[in-house]
Amino acid sequence: MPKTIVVNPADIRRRETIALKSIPLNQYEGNFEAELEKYGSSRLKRILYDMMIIREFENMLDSIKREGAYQGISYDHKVPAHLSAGQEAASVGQCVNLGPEDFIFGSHRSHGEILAKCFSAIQSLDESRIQHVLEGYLEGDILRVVESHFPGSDIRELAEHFILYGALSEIFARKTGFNRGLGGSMHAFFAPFGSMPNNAIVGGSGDIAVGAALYKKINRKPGIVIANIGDAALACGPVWEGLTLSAMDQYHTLWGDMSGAPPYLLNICNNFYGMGGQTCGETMGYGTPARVGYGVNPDGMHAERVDGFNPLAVADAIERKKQILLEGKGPVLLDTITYRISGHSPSDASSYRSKDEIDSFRQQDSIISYGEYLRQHSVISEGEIEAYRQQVREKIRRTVELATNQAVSPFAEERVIETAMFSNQVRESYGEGESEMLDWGEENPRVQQISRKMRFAYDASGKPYPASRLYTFRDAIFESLLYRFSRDSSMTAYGEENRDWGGAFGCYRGLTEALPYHRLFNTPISEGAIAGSGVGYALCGGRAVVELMYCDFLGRAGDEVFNQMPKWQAMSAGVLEMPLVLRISVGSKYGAQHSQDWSAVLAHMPGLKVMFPATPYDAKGMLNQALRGSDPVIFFESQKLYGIGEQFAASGVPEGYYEVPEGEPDIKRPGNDITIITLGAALYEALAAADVLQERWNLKAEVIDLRFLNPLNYHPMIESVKKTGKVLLVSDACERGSFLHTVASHLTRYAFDFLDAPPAVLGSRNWITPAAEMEDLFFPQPEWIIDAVHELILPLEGHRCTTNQSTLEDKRRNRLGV
Amino acid sequence: MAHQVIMPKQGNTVESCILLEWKKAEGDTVKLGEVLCEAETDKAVIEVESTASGTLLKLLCAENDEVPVLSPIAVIGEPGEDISSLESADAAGKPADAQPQELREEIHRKPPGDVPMQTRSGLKGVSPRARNLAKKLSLDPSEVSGSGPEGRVIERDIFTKAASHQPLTPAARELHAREGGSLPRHGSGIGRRIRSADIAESKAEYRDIPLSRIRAVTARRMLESMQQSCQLTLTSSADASAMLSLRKRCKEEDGTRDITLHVMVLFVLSRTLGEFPYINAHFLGDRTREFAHCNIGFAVDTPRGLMVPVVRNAQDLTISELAGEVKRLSRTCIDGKAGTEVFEGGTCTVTNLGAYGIEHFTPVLNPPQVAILGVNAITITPVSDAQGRIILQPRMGFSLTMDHQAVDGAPAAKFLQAFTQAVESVDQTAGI
Repeated sequence: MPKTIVVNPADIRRRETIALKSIPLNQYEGNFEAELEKYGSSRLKRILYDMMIIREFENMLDSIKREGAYQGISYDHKVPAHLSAGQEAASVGQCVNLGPEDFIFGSHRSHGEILAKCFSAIQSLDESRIQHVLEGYLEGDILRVVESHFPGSDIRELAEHFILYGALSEIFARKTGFNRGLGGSMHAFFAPFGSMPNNAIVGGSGDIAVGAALYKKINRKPGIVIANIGDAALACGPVWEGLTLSAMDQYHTLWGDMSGAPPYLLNICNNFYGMGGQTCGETMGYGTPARVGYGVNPDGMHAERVDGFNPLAVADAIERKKQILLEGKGPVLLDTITYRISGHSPSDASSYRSKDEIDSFRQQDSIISYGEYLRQHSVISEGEIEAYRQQVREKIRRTVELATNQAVSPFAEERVIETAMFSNQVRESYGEGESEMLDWGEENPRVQQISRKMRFAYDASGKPYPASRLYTFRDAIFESLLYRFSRDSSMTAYGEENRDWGGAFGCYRGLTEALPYHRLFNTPISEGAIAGSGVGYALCGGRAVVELMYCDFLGRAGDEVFNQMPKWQAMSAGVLEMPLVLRISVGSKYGAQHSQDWSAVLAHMPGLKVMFPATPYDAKGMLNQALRGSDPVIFFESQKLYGIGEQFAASGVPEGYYEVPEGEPDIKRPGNDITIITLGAALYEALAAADVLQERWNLKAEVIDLRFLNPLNYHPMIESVKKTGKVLLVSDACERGSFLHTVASHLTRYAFDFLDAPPAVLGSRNWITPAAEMEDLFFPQPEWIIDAVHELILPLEGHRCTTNQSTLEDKRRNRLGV
Repeated sequence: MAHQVIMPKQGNTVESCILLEWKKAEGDTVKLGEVLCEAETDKAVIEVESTASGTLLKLLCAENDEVPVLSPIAVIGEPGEDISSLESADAAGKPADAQPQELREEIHRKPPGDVPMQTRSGLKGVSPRARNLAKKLSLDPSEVSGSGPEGRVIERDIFTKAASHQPLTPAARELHAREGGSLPRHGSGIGRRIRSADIAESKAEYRDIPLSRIRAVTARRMLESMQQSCQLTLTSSADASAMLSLRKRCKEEDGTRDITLHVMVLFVLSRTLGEFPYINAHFLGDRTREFAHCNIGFAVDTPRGLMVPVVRNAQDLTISELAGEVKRLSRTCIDGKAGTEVFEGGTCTVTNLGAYGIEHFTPVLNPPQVAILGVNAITITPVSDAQGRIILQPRMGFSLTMDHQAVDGAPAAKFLQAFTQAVESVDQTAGI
């Protein structure tokens, strides 16, 4: 919403038409002399060889899946494999003109792309660099096997064997795979050669790769980023969202000397089927995917259809498009046609396509036609092709022999998986060089404003300061972010209304003045792409802070937050780090679709660290802690608390840097008689209830703020429960499935013998959130806590309940599902 | 006519046995001399044989019962026979009441707080915390009315109950509420009120362990020994070089490997005692009894406690025979299979703590024996040689306790001197 860009009614209402340029389809015309001149005969032959070995690799897997054996080696492979036999020209051709610095992301059907990209990098890198990569990867574990069992005649052949063995070991879930077998067929990748994570979720790479392109753009890294996704994936929301994020006008209008779009190429590997659905004629309406480019930007994404049956046509297209991207004129859409002769997966009986169709494509087999092309031009002889055939069969046989040998290629131990879940590193900065900052010192208006505020909520006599004078929760968020921005030059933040507006809840006010555009910018309303691109940015090695304006929008980013953000560190066996903080604001007073606390959903997801501070002191210290780590963090904030001052740290929220220790709950008020455990804003309701318990019954409640959901140290809570024997847990999340039930269950287990009553869990009613005027019917109130103590834990003398917290009522509600 | 099997008497000192295991069940056919059960005396495990043939009609004792010797344990006869007159163990005394109460292990008695939840109608349950507190305070939660949700007995109900039974001073109540723990039965305050000081005192942590049979016997004998004799201990030492070189030689061959330093001491003692009959003797109050043979007892540390088996006619055994006998006796004691005869008839005793590095101790006499020889560790000691030079020598210490009622210091010292000299030439006398 920059004021420099004006929406002019006269312009928008003018009578006009838009003329679209034509979209080229299969325009490549082979010119052998030029091709020979450009690539040389050995490179042209290498293209054929690469295609042949990829075909053999896939045929081998097909044979193992269907017959349980390959060339006499028996093996029972339990996991599905999605093969790409028939698509070799598209994948090998794509990599001919890419360098190791160029990234390709892919799909569940990416074996050919991994091999093609790595083989291409092996041809272009110098030997010492290759040596360095192989030695350093996973402490040399893969190299040691290959060196002693499958060395080859030189370093490049050694590297080829390394890639074959590392890929197949990964597919067979071996500890000697690229990712120690934790990724498998659908997720294997080898980042040092530019083969980036492949995704088992259709279209999953569509927004992650945009984040990688943003990483290259923002950190001025060389190379382009390609997302290889299927033709059916164009129907997936996150792919579309990624396109809009990659095509924003602001890259040209607002980013100043950083002008230019991120180098993002969406390559549709168009094999005309999404599983069995026919994208042309049945399940989609675009006719030709290249057409979609004009739905994205006036350049039509420079889209064209490329003949993916000719590797040289694909190589030519990539070379031209790469130039466009490096000039900042992207994004680009390619519609690379191809055909998979194999089924979708081993269970595919090809019930959806005719044998005639498959046969007609067998006639078009790119390996035969390209081999013939080279032979006709005397680049290669039939004898040499036959020798290639023998060679690839022998290499794949040897690879299978090694990868199925349990002694050489064992499965990973339990400990390997456990330690891969989090990287737990302290990273002051992921970037190189100084952080690019604008006005962030005393000249910054927000900094000036904060300097006049009271960092503790009460004066010396215990009297509260007026709200307008308080240093608040949102100030704490701002201070923490500003500090890390100044330290980590790779750090960027984006989301909806982050710049100019200052974040929907004012946390980012002042950051607009402090940061250049590429470090703080507004995005389309695309929660999926906001989170997904954050994943891509972080896994490339940059720190990103992205946000969901309301927790209720989490559903829009479900795949990104559930499947991508938590999983990649472990699926990469720790090769990748994920320094991504996702701020999620929990609403109130905004009705049913803007007031939900879904913390339990995220705590459930393995691989996420989940935090939920409730005080300014904790907000700053916990965000500081999250922003210096290497793991994905969900950072919940309650909109009830943005304006609250610090009521606990008597010396006030420190101006300097500090961290709250990870996973540690905090005793906000000590007591001996009953433990009240809270999460989020319910802390303040619990304190109000504790006051009543003290005044009326002389009961001292110990109030513990959980602060963290995962990781979580139960020790302080166990000690408290041992002392009091009585525990009530309360948060604003709906009661059914609340994370506090998990805590209650663990406490029951850890401190059973000390309990005087079963732990009581209070949450919001299992309803829609009603209007602000009726919220006291929905969110837990202090009197609910008193009534629950009376009904469920410790009958209070002379107490008359005003709400029904009884077990009987609870059963009734459960029976009705409300 | 049915027949009662009685617990046989095992030696002079055994008063009762613990029945370990029945080998036969009621209804089994048994023959005369067949083993009916195993029982444990203070020194050994014995097998009780059937004293009749027929059908085992009734077992009168349960496993782990302590049974006085000579009391009936089983009835054998013809099936269907009327044995009512023989069924009661009373026929020869009441085993259950005859045994010393303090020797029983109280492993079966349930703590009062550990009761099933639904022991009283209307009780809705007891919280784990209340249950544990009741256990600590020796209260029965089933006698407490619950004030918790749905009538559950909760912590405060137990406190209320405890307060009604044991008057506490306010300070004591506060201390107890804060720190928990058990309360003394009564206190030192007015009207036996429990004061906080009483609680603090009662917090000393200890554990009562009932005496085992063997411990109890040992305790009694040791006390009697100290009360009824006049014990004096003499200490000396001997050059152990000869023993060590002999031991080294013995270790090299299978046949002599059991000839340990301990065996050598027993051997030398068996050869020395003949010259000193007043040491190889019993003191019988109005006389002493000197023995012509040497029955040497030696102390064995077993899992059941201290045992002292006896090597008979040690003076006639070669050192190899002696070694074999020591090994056999030790093993039977450790396995708990030694019969009471193994422990009887000793004329003198050796006790050896040298292996634990003990340099000097005062052995306690095994009355009515007149002497007991304690064997100490070998220590490296500076001595002067024939030329007056200081050299280092391995020396083994000996502590001889004798009953001054029977023998004076000087004669005992003469014996000890002769013994230590004999030790120094054991390699010459051992005959191997």
